Amino acid sequence: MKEKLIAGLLAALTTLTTVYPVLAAGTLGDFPGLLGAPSEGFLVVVGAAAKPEDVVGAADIAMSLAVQSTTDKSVPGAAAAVTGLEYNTLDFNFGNLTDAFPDPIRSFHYSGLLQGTISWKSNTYDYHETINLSTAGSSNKQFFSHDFGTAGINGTEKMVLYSGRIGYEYVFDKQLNLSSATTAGTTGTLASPEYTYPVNVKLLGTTFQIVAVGSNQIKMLVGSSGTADATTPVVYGTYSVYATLGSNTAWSKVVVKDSAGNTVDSMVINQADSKDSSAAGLTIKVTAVRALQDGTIVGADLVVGPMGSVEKTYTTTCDVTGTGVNDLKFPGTSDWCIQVVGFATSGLISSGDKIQVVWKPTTSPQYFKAGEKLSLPNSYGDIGFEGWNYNTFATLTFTPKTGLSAYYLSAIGGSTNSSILASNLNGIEIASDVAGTILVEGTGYQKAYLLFGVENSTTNWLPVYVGVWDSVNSRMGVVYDAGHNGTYMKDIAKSSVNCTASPGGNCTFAYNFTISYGGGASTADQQYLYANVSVVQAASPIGETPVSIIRDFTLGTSANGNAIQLGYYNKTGTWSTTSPPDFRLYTSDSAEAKDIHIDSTDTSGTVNTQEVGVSTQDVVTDAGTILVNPSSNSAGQIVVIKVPAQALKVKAYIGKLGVAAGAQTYKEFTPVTVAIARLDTEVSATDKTKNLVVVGGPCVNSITAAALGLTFPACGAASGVPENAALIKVVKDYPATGKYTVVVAGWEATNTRTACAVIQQYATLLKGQTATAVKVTAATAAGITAV
Amino acid sequence: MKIKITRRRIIFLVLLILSILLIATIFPNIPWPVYSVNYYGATMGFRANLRDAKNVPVYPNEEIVYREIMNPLVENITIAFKPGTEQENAYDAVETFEIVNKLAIAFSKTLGYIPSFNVINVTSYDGLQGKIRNPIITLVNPNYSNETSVRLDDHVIFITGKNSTDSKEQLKNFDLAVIKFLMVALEIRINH
Repeated sequence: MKEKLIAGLLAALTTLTTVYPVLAAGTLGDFPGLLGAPSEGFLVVVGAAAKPEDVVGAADIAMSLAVQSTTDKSVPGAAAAVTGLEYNTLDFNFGNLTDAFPDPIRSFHYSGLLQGTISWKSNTYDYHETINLSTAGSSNKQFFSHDFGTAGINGTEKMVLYSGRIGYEYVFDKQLNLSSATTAGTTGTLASPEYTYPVNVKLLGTTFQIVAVGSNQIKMLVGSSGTADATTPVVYGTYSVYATLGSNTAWSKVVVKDSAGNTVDSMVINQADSKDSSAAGLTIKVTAVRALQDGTIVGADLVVGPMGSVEKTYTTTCDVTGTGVNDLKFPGTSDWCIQVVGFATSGLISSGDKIQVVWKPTTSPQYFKAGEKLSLPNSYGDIGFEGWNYNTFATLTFTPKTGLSAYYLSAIGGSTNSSILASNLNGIEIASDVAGTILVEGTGYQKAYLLFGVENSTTNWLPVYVGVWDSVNSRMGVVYDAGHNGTYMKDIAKSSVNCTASPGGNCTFAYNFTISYGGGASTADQQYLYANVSVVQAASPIGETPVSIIRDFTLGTSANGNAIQLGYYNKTGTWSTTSPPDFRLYTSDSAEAKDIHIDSTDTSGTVNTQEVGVSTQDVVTDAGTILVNPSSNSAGQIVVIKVPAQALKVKAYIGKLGVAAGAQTYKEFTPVTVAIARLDTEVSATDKTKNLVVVGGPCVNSITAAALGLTFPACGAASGVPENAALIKVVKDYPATGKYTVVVAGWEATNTRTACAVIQQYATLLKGQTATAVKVTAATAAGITAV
Repeated sequence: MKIKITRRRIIFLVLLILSILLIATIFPNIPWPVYSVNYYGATMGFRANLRDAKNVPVYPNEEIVYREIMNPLVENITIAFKPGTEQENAYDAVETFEIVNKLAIAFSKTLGYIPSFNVINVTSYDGLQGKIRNPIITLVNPNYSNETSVRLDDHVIFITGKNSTDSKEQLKNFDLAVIKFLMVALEIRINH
């Protein structure tokens, strides 16, 4: 019994919570919610005497109801994945690639590099590939720098790569005796290359044929290589080379055709010989001919390449400036060339011998900014600079302010009251875009101030205030200290110990803020903002007027406290009983180089102080802060600095970077009872227990007439529909008590069509509408008026 | 306590068990009319019995029509109809609502977006040019048709209801063709 009572009460509650929103509804702003979603069905009723406009209107309403049953959901994007090695721990100041990356990079680091065997004369020989970061034994680091003093870097973080250091290596891991290819044992040398049984290797995916080694050199055939016959060509560029006739192991006739199939050249070439085709600009080398007695070619092994360049000798050094047979560039590139290590013995490839493809641009070093990369030939792999370790920064903005009022602050972390402590204050506002970032005495604020009042005419004290932003009351507050020597209100008294000498000496005041992203950065990731005030010749206890003031903000880490220095000067030159100092950067109202100084490590590792006030690009400092657009901001006497949430590092990869997936939005279907359309003549007694949307006026739709309490057909003025307009109206308790009918009725069919368009744009035109009925003259906000 | 089982009781029990087995076997196979289905948690009602619509022919086949309409490349769907008498217009309006509303829901559920729909009136059913991104659904009013079918022809889907002298029959045929098209698009299967 007890259980039944509880169940009954729960059922009643469930019913009430389901029904209540419907009962409470009744305005157009509740449509389509008042149609009974999610639990009740509803019908859309079209008059049996319809116009073509009603067909279009039905589609509008159908769309509207479908859209209302969905919600937009977002899927966050995904960062691009790296195949290979990726580190975000590199020092942005002078960090070498090899500080994080192994050298060389092997196939187990990056799967794009191969390690396996090649086959030569039915035997297999081991090899492996590497990417080297110090190919020739580097004396120059491959490093990251933001040196402001180097053209090409200019304060922007760059990856600095030097010519001749980055390379690819193909390493033989097993001895291969090329001279053993023939019984004589004399081929495979530079004097007598082995064309019949060359060693096929793939450097960076491109096939080369080694035909001779010795004296620290190798001779390779370069270009397209393969086996041709009368129907199967070897293709190079737009040309196809066929072998149409030949004599076994002796000669072959080759035919060169263009992309249209036209013969442009033909020639007979002896085995192991080559000929040039001037017509095609090619050199064709025949390395082997297999033919029948009747001259039919079974297969001719050809190498086809640029004229004069299919056979080249590579030594222990290379550059990218040679031409013809001295063109040692890797095919298809302009900055990569081929050189070798080893190959000392004639006709013998020893284990450990290497063929190198080295990056040797004529301009060195080269600079790569975030998002750029150095790609190996054939896109075999990249050395890429992705960006910062984390892209989370708090942006600090320093802005001169005048005429501010400070309110009494109960305590740091407390709130202000409505009493003004001091007014007519000038100074600097320090604002962060991340709340809680500026720590004042350990409490995080979004804004802090260093403010200056007029000279006290009685004591000659020069008041300086440290203010904080009271976000609750939207005003700036200062903790009052009756002795004027408290923590948050400071005075530079002309006679106080703040003055180093008296008379004629300078008086100083200093204050430390801590910058901690959102107030939550670890101590190691915090930066320190040091405000230093110096009043020149303010030391006289009796009456000497202070003529100038130098404000100096420094921002940096515990290791480098002066990474940024902002020079705010008093532009009026006075600090009197009627006038507080008024600030600007350095000595003019325009941008000046000396407005801002930063510390910047140069490309030799030396720290220099640089004047960056007129730099037109962002400048990275040695503390990992980023000075944003100095020139433009300095001109407005503003300084903007991005402070990283965590200590700044560089993120780089070696390998392949995939494609990042962008964030997307999709429509998620919310299960509701899906509407059914009916003609008014079809509506049954059962249908009249549901909520309705009726389309068409009472002249053409009998259900509309009934809902409006009219006798069908009710046309013209009798319809109650505004002339030359449409009516959208919620009728309560029709077709049954507790049910609703939404009437969409026009004076003419075109007016009904317009009203349907309004329904279709429900989210922008009707949502929030508090009336139960509106007159529609156009499908715009202005075309809808409550009636 | 001793239970006495009489012969009459045994017969009664046997008959009862046989009846239960008979009902359990036959009941699920009775072709009750189906007017609504559960579509991803929503009760989706239809204007006619889905069992009747199941047999409407689809050309060239259901798979091809499904791939034509529920294609992620689709950006805009055009509904074409030929204005006629008030009754014909009313039929077209009702079927247009059914197609647009249910297709839009199907797109949002299965593909995560809703393509745009536009409705055009045509003077002829010939020469319509659909595209893979913009298929056309043509409502061929029963007054112009001698078959009930769904037919795809080069990105144009013709939905036709067979003509009849009985207006209710006309509308029902039109309904069945539209429902068959929606069954294909929404992958609604009626087993028997």
